[in-house]
Amino acid sequence: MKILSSPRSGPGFTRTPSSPEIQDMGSSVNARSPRPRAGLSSMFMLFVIFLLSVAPARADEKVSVEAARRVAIQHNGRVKPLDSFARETVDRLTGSPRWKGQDPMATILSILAEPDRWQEEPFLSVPFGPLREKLELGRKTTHVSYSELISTKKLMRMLPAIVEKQQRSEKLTMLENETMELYDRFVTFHGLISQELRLLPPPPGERVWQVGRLEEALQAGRSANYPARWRLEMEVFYNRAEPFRIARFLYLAAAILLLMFYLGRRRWTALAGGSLFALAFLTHVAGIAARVILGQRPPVSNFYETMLWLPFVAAVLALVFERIYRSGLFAFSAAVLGSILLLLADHLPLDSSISPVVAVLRSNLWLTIHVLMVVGSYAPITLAAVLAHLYGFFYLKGGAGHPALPSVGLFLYRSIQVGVVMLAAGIMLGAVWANASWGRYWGWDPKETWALITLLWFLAMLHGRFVGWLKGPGTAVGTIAGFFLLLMTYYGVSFYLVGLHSYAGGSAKPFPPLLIAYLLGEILFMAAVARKAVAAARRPV
Amino acid sequence: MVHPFRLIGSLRVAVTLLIVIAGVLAWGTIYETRFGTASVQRFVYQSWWFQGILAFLAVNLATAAFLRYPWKRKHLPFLLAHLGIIMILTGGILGGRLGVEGQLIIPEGESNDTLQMDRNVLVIHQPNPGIHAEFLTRFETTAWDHAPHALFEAPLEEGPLQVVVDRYYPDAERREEILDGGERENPAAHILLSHEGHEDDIWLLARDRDRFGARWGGAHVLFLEPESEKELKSLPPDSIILARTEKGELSAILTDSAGKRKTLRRIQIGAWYTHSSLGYRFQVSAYYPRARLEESYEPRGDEVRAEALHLVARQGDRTVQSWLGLRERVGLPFGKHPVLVEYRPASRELPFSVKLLDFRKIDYPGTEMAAAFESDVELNDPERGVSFKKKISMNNPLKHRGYSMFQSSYVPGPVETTILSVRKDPGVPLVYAGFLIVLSGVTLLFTSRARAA
Repeated sequence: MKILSSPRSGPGFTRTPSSPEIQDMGSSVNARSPRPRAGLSSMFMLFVIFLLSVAPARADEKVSVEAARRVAIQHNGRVKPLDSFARETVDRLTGSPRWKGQDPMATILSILAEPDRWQEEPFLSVPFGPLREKLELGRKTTHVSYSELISTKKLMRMLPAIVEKQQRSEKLTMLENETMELYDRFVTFHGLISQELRLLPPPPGERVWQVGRLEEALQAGRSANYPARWRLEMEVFYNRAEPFRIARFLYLAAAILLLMFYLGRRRWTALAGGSLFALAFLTHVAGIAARVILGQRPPVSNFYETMLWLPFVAAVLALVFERIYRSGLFAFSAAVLGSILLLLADHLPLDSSISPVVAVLRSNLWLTIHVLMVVGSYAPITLAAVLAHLYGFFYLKGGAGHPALPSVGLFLYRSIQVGVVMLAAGIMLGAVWANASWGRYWGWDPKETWALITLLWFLAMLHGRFVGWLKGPGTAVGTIAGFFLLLMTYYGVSFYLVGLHSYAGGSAKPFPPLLIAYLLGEILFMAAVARKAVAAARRPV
Repeated sequence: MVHPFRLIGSLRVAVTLLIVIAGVLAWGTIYETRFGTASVQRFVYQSWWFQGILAFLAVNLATAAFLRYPWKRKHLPFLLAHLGIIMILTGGILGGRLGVEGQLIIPEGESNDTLQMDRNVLVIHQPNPGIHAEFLTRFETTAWDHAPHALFEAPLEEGPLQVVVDRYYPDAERREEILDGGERENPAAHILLSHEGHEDDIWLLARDRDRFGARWGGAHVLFLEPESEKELKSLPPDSIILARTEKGELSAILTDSAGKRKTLRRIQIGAWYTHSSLGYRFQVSAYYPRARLEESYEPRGDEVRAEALHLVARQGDRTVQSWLGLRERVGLPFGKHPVLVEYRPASRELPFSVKLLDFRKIDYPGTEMAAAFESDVELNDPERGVSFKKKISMNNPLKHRGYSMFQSSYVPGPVETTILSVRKDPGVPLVYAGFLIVLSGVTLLFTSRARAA
């Protein structure tokens, strides 16, 4: 029999109760949060059963669901309406915003009311193929039931080795990460069926949740710790309205109309496109504002929110540039960006909940400015990438003499300039923040290093253009290449090279085939433009 | 023939440098995923050749600026941008050379004035007659080299001691095997535990005060060697206690939550027993009265995370070999007095001491997610006759005599330990001024040209 331990941990191997599966043996598997008082959850159950029993008929059921939506609960460090909790939980557990097309609130209330039935339902998402194989689920089984996980024990057997690895702070493989994710879903579901819901926060300084207080609070409708009515109403409204979904359709419509304007020069298309763009922008701003008010924190604090902020800055820049150049191309590019990015924000596996921020990111002015500036700087660069594609299309279609090229080229150049200034400023602000928070303004962390690489690339391009080494097509190709570097900074580092900035991103994720297809397409496009430019340069004038 | 200055200050060189630097950095981040942060810092970012490239960029920018002398008004944005970058580069190189960076690790109620640095040293130490030799090592810089053959020499009383590090494992796995047939009495028992599909196994050594017991789930699992019944008088509740009688037999005492006991005599090797109130099942799968430990190290990978060295020490014709992990020390039997060899992070004295009065982790309500970390400290500077108290929290450092102390992390436990990162960087003002100048220069450059166009 061999015992393994690393020399750093010394000779002792006393099993401390810090590993979750050991700590919580025998009672519950929830390792994340302290257990709530039993009295409280049974109180809540009574409440829920009351709601359900009052309304046996379907039409009335809807009313009771409505009533429950606005109940404030404590979840993941924030007080939020039950409606938000339901949406986040269903999304987390099943991997999609709705389970069988049902309202998430109805799903959650049903789980609370009939835990036994739901234990048998294949409800927990297993998105990662190799993990399905490990659990012997069959290739097409995307969801597994709670009771199956318990009865086969395959998941539980995989855990101790992973936890041990985590304790040695070793990097986990993708399979191990996905295993922990599934375990986390299992724990969340377990919490749900054992009715571990937390209603109402305790007063500051007190950890105990008192049933008496809860009753009082529910009777009075509000108390010092109970969130204001308008807050709950607003969050439920925000959840239901899905402003970014509306905004992305409006952006798409605006982009189509603006393209029509560019091709046909009809006045009504410009007006309609412009007003749709404005409408999309307003919806977009309203959505961001709602998140800021509800979360009581700056607009960008997780990956999802960067995907909202980037097109917002792009739209602002487009509005500014349109005032100067009045061509419609900037608005078109920003609208394209808005529709694509907001679509991606909803469809990539990102956490869209309004969650509290980790300690190091809290209440810091420099940090807020730094993040807004850096993510903001991605906007002009991405805008430049869209313009570079337009340039490429026109160049491939009509050659160097195409009438649109000079203006598109100029806009592209302006966008890069703004991007370089903002990125440089953002990096420097990051240095100032890092110095204020960690005492070092530069640490060669992968994220900051890649931001610098992106900046150096565009600086090299600007200088090359300045002395005439790079002409229009070269700038377009270089911009698309620079956009790849930006993708690496923005997306790649967080998911493939995790460093100090890991709080901004996630862990290793499988490389999506769609991304590979996109990159291949881009490379072919760049090659086509470059080939034509080289051929044109060789031809004697 | 281009004039050498024109070449050095040319745009061709500048653009080449920018792309070379970008390429090196991209490679560095990939290198880091393989060998770890400590390795890439020393092998790439702080290496003389990379700093050399950066210095060359500064020279290139300065030459480019001087080539345009006498300067005119239109050169202003260009000059500002270049001057700013030169200041940032100079400040960075200066800070790297003259700055201090380390960690101050203080348990609650204690005081510390010694920084732990991020480089490691090999220390050869003979307490009597007080010989102390310290060597800065750089094994982690070339973490792929598992056979470095580095030689360290210390003058001892009886003649020079040569220590050769012939193996270096950046991520060593310590393997320990417990075998029967040792020279001395050393009772060891291998215990299997099982509950609702969770299974675990553990070796308990009755005579090792670090390893005679463990906690598993809600239970204490202990292996005791009582000399009389008296010693078993007070036992913890919810426990599985294996006791070795004087005759060498094993019995088990099970206590419930109220401390009520049940004794199982003559435990059979390989048979399952049940703790009735906890529902845990256990068995003793092996029992060695004279156990011996055999240890070895195996390399697990190239990423620097759990370093271990193998030493061959030689004095005259005597040779001793040993393994040595980071933060460990071994005694080598040479001469009259023992020689200690230690591999640990380098340390550095601060001109003042910091005492940790209290450490607090403040959570978001209802979770264990930290919202804030705070350390109440007392700083004592006898040299300057200063003593004061201050609260250090995230983004809120303590500054004294050019040193800044930041809340970095903490070690949980009954006595919490705070970890402050300490930094002194004389390059910062130059770098900050550089930031402002660059930004104003670039903004001026683009706006003036936009106006011209």
